[in-house]
Amino acid sequence: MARYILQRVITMLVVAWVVVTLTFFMMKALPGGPFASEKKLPEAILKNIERRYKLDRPLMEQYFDYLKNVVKWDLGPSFKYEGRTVNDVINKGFSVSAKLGGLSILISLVLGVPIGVIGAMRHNGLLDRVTSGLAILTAAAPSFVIAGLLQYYLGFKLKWFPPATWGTTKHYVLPTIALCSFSLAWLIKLTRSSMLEVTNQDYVRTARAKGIPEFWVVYRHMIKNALVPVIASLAPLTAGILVGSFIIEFIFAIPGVGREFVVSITNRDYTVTLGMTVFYGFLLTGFTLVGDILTALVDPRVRLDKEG
Amino acid sequence: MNKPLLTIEGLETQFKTYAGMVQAVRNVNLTVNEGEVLAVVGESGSGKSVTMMSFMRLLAKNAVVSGKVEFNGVDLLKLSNKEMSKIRGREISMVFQDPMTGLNPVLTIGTQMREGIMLHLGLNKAEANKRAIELLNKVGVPEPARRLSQYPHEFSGGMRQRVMIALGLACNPRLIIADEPTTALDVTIQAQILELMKQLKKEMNTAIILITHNLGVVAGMADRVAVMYGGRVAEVGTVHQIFHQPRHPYTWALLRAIPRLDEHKRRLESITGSPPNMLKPPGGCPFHPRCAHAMSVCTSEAPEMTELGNNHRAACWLMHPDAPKVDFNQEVTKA
Ligand SMILES: Nc1ncnc2c1ncn2[C@@H]1O[C@H](COP(=O)(O)OP(=O)(O)O)[C@@H](O)[C@H]1O
Ligand SMILES: [Mg+2]
Repeated sequence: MARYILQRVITMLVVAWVVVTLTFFMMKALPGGPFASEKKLPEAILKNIERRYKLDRPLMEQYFDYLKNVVKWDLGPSFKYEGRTVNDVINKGFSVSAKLGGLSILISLVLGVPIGVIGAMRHNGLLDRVTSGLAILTAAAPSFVIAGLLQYYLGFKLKWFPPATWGTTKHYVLPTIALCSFSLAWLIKLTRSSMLEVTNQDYVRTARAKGIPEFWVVYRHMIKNALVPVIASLAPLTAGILVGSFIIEFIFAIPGVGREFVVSITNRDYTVTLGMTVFYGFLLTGFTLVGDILTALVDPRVRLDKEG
Repeated sequence: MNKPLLTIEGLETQFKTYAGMVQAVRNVNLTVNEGEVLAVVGESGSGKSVTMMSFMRLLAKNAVVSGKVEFNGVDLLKLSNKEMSKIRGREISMVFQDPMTGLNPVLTIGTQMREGIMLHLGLNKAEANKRAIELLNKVGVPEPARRLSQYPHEFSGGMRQRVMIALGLACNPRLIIADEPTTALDVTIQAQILELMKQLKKEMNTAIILITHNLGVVAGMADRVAVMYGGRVAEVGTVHQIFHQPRHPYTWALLRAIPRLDEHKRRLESITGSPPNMLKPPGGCPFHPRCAHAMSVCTSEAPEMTELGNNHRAACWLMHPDAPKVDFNQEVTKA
């Protein structure tokens, strides 16, 4: 197990390095510098600015500088806002985004897995049909459509919840629903089909043949197996939530990292865009690592250091 | 020895499918006596597994089962689920065909062995562990104490099947149903497992229903043999009767298909044609489309079981007094 974790950690570090390198060079390859705005700056001033941000140095030197700073978790200054660093931008937005995203993941897991399990057990029952229908609906409707509908009906029309911005607990409701709808639907579907598949496995029949009461057959023999693909989907799930949060934070005017990310692109604030891509890359690699470790905990076949 | 332990009477099992009703088991009658080994043979699809799963009540919800299956005086098909689960694993246990998929991959062997023991024998965890170690020892799994904390993927196929057998023995059942317990294993391990079962049977005097399509295995282990075809019992009798006085053309065909060391020149003959589609089984005797002796009556009416003396029975129109006489010795050895 320890060897497995170590191996995963090393792999993830390599992945993180690849992410940093690729994003760095791709950003550099984009046409137009950070200071190429409509107003043409005089040559001398441009040179000055470039010297200040070390943009006049050779590319490889810039790259190694950047890499060194990333290791120290210093993502550099913002090009657009004097005195703000990329770290400031991330730190400021992250507490908001983490709450919104974390809540969405939590709700998806806490509701999605049991609903999926019950749906599979009462296959084609009322709950199963209703949730399957809803799941298809939410999977088909993009989250910004759901966000718009929620905002309009529950926010503007019925005034049950504030339609936008951030602050009180009530502000959480609409964006959280909009953000978790897809992942919730996805998890219900995944858990349900995974349970249904497990139902027909030989080892479930073996368990029944032993005379184990049905509750234990489901609880001990089926759920644990059915959860393997669910846990493995943790990383893509969080990726979905992250991408979704860009849109949702924008629609609901929530001051999170996702919105800053979108804004930085429209502002051509290159260091912020670069830094945030790296940040998101690390976040995802981290979640992948957690998912891998959890999978190994549940499924012994995944662990590499087996005996014999 | 001759006291019936399990009596199957008029068992019928159908599966509701989108394509229609699959007639998997049709009017099966069988008896297993205490402490005896009944071998059930027949090509795959002949309804052997479904017969067993029907009275063990392990079939999916789309199965419709009727008939009477008395075990030790109680009709298993009439028991509540709770009463049935007290019999499963305790009185009657099953050893399934595929040891690679029959064990839960995410639970240790110990957990899987203990649960039945603790449940049925009311032992605590430590006692159950002791019993599990004892059982693994008995079925020849080396280092049982260490093995208990391992997972199925750390065992070879043969070792897994030993574990499955240990699971089957766990609560000293009166009947073990072994459904092709060696089919998935290679030949040497097959022999070891069968030797093990023979020896355990002698020690514990457990009755065994052994499903197999290997007649060699049957000759070595069984007391009596039931030959199944198309969801019906074609012939049933002692090993001697089935091997030396077979009366059903399907039994002849099965016997012809056994490779023999003393007859190099003869090609190993597999039975021509294919087993019937149980969605629409042929009318009359299910074997008639493949039978060299089929008569016109065989296509229209299913033959009744005919008693041939000493509990040897066959369901074939050739048993009818008006039918032509066929010499079975010639039929079996025919090239
Ligand atoms: N769950 C099921 N649904 C529909 N048909 C089934 C099902 N299980 C078995 N059958 C059919 O029942 C027949 C008997 O199968 P089985 O008892 O498994 O044969 P075998 O003699 O090889 O053990 C086959 O034709 C098979 O296709
Ligand atoms: Mg079978």
